[in-house]
Amino acid sequence: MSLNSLFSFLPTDLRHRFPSGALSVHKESGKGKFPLARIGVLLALALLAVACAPTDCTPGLGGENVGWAPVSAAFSQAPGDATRVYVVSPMGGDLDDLAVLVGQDLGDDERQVKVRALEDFGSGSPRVVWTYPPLGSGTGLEGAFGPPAVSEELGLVFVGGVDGRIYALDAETGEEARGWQRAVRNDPSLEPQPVIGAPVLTELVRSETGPSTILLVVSEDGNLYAFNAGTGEELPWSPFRTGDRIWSTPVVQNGIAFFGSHDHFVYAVDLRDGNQLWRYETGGAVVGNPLIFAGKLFIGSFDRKLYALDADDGELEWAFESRNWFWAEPVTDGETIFAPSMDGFVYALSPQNPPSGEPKEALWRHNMLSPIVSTPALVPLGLVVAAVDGKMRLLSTSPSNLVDGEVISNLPTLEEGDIKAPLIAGAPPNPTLGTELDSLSVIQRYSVFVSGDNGIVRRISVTEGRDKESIWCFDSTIHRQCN
Amino acid sequence: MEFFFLLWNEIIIRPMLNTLMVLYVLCFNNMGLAIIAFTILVRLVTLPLTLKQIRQMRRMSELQPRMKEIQDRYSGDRARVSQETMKLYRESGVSPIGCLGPLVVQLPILIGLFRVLIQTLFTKPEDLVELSQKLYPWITFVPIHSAAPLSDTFLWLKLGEPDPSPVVLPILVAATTFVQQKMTMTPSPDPRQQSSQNMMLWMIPIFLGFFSLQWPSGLPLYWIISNVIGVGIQYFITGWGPLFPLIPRSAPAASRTTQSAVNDTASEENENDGIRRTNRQNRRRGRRAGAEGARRRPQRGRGRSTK
Repeated sequence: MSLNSLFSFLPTDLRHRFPSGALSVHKESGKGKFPLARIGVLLALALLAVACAPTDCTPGLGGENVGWAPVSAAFSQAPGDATRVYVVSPMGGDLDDLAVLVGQDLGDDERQVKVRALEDFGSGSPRVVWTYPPLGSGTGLEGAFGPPAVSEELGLVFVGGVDGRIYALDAETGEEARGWQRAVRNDPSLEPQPVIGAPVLTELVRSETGPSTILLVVSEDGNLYAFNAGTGEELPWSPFRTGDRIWSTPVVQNGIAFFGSHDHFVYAVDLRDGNQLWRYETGGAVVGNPLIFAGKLFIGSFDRKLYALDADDGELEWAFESRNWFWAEPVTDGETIFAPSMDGFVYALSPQNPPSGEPKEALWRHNMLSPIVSTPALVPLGLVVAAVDGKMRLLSTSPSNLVDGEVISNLPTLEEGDIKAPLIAGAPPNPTLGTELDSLSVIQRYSVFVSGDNGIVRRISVTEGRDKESIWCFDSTIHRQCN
Repeated sequence: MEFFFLLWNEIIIRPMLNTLMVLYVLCFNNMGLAIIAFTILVRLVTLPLTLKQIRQMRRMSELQPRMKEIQDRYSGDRARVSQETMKLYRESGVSPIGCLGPLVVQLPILIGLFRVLIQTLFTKPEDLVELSQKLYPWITFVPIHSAAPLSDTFLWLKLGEPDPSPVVLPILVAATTFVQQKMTMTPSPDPRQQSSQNMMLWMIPIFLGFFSLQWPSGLPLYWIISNVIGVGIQYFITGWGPLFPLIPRSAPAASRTTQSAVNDTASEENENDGIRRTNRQNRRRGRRAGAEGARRRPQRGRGRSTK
């Protein structure tokens, strides 16, 4: 093949105007007569890079991980009992190597994401209870972004998949619950759209059926779906339709679901009849999860504002503007709202309205120097914040005069992978939801679960007066302990 | 290496990405229109370079007879051919690197644009995390932050996904690339080079069309618009060239320089005669006194072709 063919990208007019031999290497001396040959080769390689680059980024063609390896934890009722941790592990990367390592036949299927249940006794490495689909089955999910929802009452774990399906798995065995694995869609003739937001379980009292557990699922098709979690039956009013895709995980209070949509609106929907109670229009897509506290709904938007709305009627109380999107869910310790932003700052805000006519100001703000997508976790010592780059810090939640907030300590950095999935506190976030804090072990109370998008899961100790260390590390992709 | 990526990101990717975002908002939140406007903008910004490139190519084209003469005179002594050719370039004020320079400058723009389109068109959550870090926080006159995630629908296309048809865009990519190449093509007196050119004339469009089958359709859209603009620029400067050799350019003849007329008609003659011209004829042509002879020939060439 002539070297001249490497110059195919040059205008033909230009190519053959070069001096004869200028584009070829001198055969006798071995020296290039003209640097154009080398320049040409470089240009050709650059164009080749252009041609190849998009294929790595085209869905289905690249080898990137799918999902954020979200973790959720089910907390034991009795002190000293194991905490059950569920993780949706990505299985991207070099699948052949992984297959050799764990001795499982992964095949060529793209659906390689597994759901794993770990039993954690608070020390040592966690024990794998089950894997779905089972090892060696050669298949899996396509990926998940939202943490699994766990119903101890029904004994089921629900996972929303990027493949647009909802998986209901037996919490003890990991087997599919009968009649449950289903495509989430309104029209059977259409392809199901990805489920990005986490599935949500809630108790609902309906006049016709009495109390029942409802599973809420949001979809990129723009609908909020409601199912009877026990039977999989869809509620009569379901779905509730919005104007664009939904990534926001709903929060439910008193039978009302609050969530945002890419159509810029925040919705309040009565789950008993599916009626819209109110909606509020922000200036951008609403992809984060809301927080309800003190009668107000706090939710961020891509217009760079955090909104405080009256939960009853959706009236605007105040809005606070940062330098980038609000994506992660805000949290509260009962006095202050902590709102992470994609500009890398965690903002501490008073829930109260600012004086009339004055803009909302932050009490303090702390710069993590990297965007924050992961929802922070509250532990007895303070607020654990994780930035996308894997950096984690424990911040004081006490009133502070410091403009930058008070850093109690830096936590072990998750060097491998990005942190985008929500952090999970080692103890129930609210004592009324689970066990009284006093009955939990120190490890349970003073730790957080963190997962990287590469499938590494860690339980990190945030105990007072001790070094903050990783209690255990589990590589969910290769199914074994890591350092 | 990290420093290189930082430079690449700050000098190429971020300015382009933010420009595209601003255009997206200004074009009624329509990504297809934004890509078209962006392509026009890029072609406008690089227009001086493009014109310079075309001028250089034209000058080199005019030197073709003398280059051929050198090749014939020193055939067998490649070093001498190269030396004499470079001397000819120096005397004529032509730089082969000068032809290549604009292309080198445009290449990072091309690569960067591809990356930008990829980063803005995909709307998976992790793509948006990347996107958020590339938006300029100081752009407040146009709400680019609120515009994300971008709507990627345009006509029948989802710009972040391959053409669902799936052949319309690939065919257009191949056709427009072919037309642009054909317009800039000047037949070579060397049959071997001519054969190579003809092969490339077909291979490159087919190659690009094939890649377009799996590219997100925003990229073929950019490529098609860019080609159409390139064809327009080429037409206004050199006419249809070898694309339609028998159709004279409709633009006023007065606007053409003598040199361009020489170039056009020489091209026409070359196209008509093609590779059938014998080496003897080439040598005879080469002996003519350079531009003087070339100026005389077009009258004959044109006369022949219109009969």
